Amino acid sequence: MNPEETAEKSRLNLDVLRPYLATRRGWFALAALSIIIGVGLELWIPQILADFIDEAFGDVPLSQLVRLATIYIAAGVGAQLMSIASRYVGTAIGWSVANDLRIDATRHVASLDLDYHTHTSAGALIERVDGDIDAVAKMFSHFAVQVISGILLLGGIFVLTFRENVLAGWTVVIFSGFVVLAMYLLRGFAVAATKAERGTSAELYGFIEERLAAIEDIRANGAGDHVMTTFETVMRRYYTRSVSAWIKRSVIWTTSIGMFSLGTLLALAVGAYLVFQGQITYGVAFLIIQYMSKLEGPIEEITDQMQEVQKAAAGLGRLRELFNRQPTVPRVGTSSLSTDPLEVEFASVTFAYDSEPVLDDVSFRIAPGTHIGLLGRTGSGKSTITKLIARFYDASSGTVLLDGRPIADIEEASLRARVAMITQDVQLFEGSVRDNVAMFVPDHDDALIENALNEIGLGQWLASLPEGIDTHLDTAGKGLSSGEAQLVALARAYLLDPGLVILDEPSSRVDPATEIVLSAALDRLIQGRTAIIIAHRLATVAHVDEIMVLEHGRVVEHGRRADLAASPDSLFAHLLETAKDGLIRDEVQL
Amino acid sequence: MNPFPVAWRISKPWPFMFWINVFLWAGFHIFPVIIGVMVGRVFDALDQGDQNLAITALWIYLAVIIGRLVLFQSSILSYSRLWHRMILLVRRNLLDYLMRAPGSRVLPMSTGAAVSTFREDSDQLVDYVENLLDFFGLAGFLATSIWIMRSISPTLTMWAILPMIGAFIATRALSGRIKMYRERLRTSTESVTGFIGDFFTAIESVKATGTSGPMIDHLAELNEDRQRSALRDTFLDQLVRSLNRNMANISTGLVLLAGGSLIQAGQISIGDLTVFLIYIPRMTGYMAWGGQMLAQHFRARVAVTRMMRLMVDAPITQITDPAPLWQDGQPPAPAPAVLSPERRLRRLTVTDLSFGFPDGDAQGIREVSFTLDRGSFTVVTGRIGSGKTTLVRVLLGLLPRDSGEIRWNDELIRDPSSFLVPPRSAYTPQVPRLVSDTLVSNITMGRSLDESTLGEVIDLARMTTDLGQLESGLDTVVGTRGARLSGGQVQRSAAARMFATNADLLVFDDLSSALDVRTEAELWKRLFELRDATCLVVSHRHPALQRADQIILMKDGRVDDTGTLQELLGRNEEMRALWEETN
Repeated sequence: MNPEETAEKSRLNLDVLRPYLATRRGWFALAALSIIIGVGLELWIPQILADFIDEAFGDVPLSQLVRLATIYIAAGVGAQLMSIASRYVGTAIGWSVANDLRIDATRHVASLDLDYHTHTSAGALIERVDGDIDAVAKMFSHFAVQVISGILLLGGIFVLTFRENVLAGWTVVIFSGFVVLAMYLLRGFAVAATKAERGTSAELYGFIEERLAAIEDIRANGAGDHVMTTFETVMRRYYTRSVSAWIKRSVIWTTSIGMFSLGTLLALAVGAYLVFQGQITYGVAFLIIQYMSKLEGPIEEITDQMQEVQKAAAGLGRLRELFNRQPTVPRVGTSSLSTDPLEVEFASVTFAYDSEPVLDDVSFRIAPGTHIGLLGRTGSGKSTITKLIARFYDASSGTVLLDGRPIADIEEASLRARVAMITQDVQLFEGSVRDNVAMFVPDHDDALIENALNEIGLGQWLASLPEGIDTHLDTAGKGLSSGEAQLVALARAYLLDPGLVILDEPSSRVDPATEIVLSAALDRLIQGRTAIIIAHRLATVAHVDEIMVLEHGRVVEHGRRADLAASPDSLFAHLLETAKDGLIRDEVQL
Repeated sequence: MNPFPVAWRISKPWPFMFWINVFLWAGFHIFPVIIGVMVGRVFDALDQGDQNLAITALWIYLAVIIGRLVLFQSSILSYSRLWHRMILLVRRNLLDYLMRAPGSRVLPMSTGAAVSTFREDSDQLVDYVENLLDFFGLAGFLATSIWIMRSISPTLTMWAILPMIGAFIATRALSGRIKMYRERLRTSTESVTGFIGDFFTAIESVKATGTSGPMIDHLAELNEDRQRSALRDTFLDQLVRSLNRNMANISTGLVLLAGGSLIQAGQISIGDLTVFLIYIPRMTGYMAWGGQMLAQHFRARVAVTRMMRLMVDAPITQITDPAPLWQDGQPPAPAPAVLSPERRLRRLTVTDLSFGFPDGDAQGIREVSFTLDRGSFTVVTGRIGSGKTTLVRVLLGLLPRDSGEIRWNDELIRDPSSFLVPPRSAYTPQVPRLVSDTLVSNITMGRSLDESTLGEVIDLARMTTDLGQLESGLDTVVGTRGARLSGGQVQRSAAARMFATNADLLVFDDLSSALDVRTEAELWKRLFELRDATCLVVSHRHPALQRADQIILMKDGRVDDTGTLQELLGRNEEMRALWEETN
């Protein structure tokens, strides 16, 4: 990436945020008020001290000193309260904007085509809707509050020092300019070294991670000595690079410490000079020292926060890109599906993906209530057929008909309620059993959910749970075996009471006991419904009415299972012969 | 576990560096005491109209600043080296124990969690050492500044210090609550990110059921909960911070309040007052830092406990035992070791071997007995979950047996994990792991092999075709965990790795995903032509079963039957069923 591009990306553009900010004017006013009062008090406190010094060593009654000291304490407490208030309000604004943004972003991403999701990992999406949005939240809670109060404080210090004495004022201003310039010049000094350091530390942890993962291979093959010898090289490289990065960075720290210490000395020298000249009092001399030492905080915070702003700006840029992306499958259908088992028909359906043909002029009809097994190698088009029925995509040409109606005319909600799709990998969520079966839809009766679980063969399991369907499933159902997770997915489908069930059977082996439970559950689920099953088990195929075999996006065989099995030169019969271990592998040569 | 002795021992290998750093940092922290005194002198000089005194004080001030910078830069030069040595020592010692110590080493946590112990817990421990090192400077600054303040006015000193002690105590009192809020924020954040991750992982099901609406409502609830935790956390955090910062104002205020009369009585000069005004904010800062050091003690305690948990049975000194971090010039790679003829395997006897998984979530094994004779081919078979893999892992000491005996010839093996390694035995697990290095290093694992042996090994593992397909043959870098190879290639590489050890006993856990049936049969044939090996093979495939001199049939963790294929097919129902199923 060239530097111009980076600059373009990290320019702060608040478009995406505008609607979220407009509704929070009151909060912003509150934040501004607490910042202004806070900074005002912070500027005033040194003045009180200066007055005290002048009056204490002058000739005033003790009561006057006591009054100043009391005001001093009160102002100090007030300043701190304001600082708590401004941070708190800033954080509150940040979080509430971030939360709204997160919900909208999630909703938007969920509406995007499945295609987008297959090309974007869940990890990357977490980074978008959580990481990037968090950076935006931080911008409000930290940047806005700290940088704005920092700038106000700096400005106030300049003005107030000039008010006392012009020479002192120039000293403070020129010194600040000098510090900012030095920080700016040194900013890139350690970047390359730090990057190299990150690289070697990633290498170090990567080395450790791989060896831990391979611990049995290493120990049982006596490679421990070899690992430790190799680790020496990795450690040496880490040591050299990381030490040199530390030392480079320390030059920046030393410069900063040095500049600010010299600043205080400078203020003291200038103050002393002006006192000797009779231009200012002791109190004012001390005031200049105090103002000078107050510069450090805001200058460092502004420099630090600039990096946060860049992160937030980059995050906002990525969010804008995300919001600009639109789903391509139009959702405008209005007709509803009947409550009977559904008929499925493909009429000369062609589907190309990235101009790569996946389905080529496919036509077939599945009568209501028929159970059909789809077979074929990976990439033959089996799952594309199911995805077209679920309308994750629209066909490039030809028509997919459900219940005799073109799928594009069917209302989205009706399609989702009547077609249940069970994917190979079942994802459970952290939440109750109810949430997991009902997919967080709140308006299902307990009895319905319990009934679904019972019907699917999870009755015993349910009875064993301490709080029944309200039992909390630990982090995404870790306690459940993959067979049980599969059953939960079947229960989800059962609860829908669909007219068509699409099942992509897991291709991995499960233990024989679970296999029996699973196929019984499947039988109960698809009874009286149309079912399309991408089958991987011989046992499953044994129960279907029809078989359809696909190859290179074409239907090469479709007929009644019994007929195909009986005919010696059918592909299906050949496949039955070559299948092993009770599994039909996708790779099996047809 | 008290982290103090651990931290104390960690610096042992570099005592000189450690103490130099203590002195340099102490100087860095204590020098500002002089600055306070010099500011006081300047103000006194102003009061007395003594220009020379003011100028002298300013020069001393400048000298102190420069001295302090020199101290800082030189301590960094030396400390950066010390810090990295300490942290590498801890990491090296952890890895060394896991890789080489006797006994069974099962990671008691996920690899990810183990890596974070290497990464963060070692950091916490070394940060604690850093605090110990800084403690001298901190205590030095507080002691000298209090001493100077007392010599000016004991009363004012008391007023200055009291609020700081109060803030220190209040912070400590709140620290439990801070930790609780932090923890709550962490879990509610995990819930949000976890749910988002699950939601997008399951997006296909979500779309198919059209339930993204209610699910996003659920996310909104999790969000709100997280926001509440975050705000509570921010509030308390800010409160504690300003408690510490504000104490400087209150201390100063109290000093002014009590000091008014003393100043008017002429007992306190302007210089004396400025010394107080300069010291107080710095002292408050150091008090807050002291509180953080205390907190670091508890964090280090957790870190040490976690490291000990990772190493399971190591003595606590393992973390800090002095060890060379690296030698100059790598030792030459050793050739594969060879056993003297009388130590070679004649018979391996296993008696009543038992093992149960602590949480009972996988099939253990119970009272397994068998013998392996030199040059024999033994197949362990049985259904999924019958304990086949557990059996070989317990035999090799990868899992700790509960009871039972293993004898090599007549010698009792006390620690199979350090005994059943090359040149005696070698192992190919069911899911072998490679590391990101070249293919050849993955196979030789640092042993030096001559060309012809390497060729033989490659040939035996049926890898010749694979080498042709890989861009740089044996020098191909295999990627993280061998990701650039196919599953079958990884397994064949692992088999080659095992052959390269030239061990007497070869243990294979299921080669079926590496080789098709015919190639597997060829492999066994060639292996017995070339090598005088004893094989223990987990398999359900016909060629292996047919070749077996002995089949150990496992069922529910026990040996169901032992014999040749013909014997078992003749008398064992389970064997017949298995034989049929795998046709």
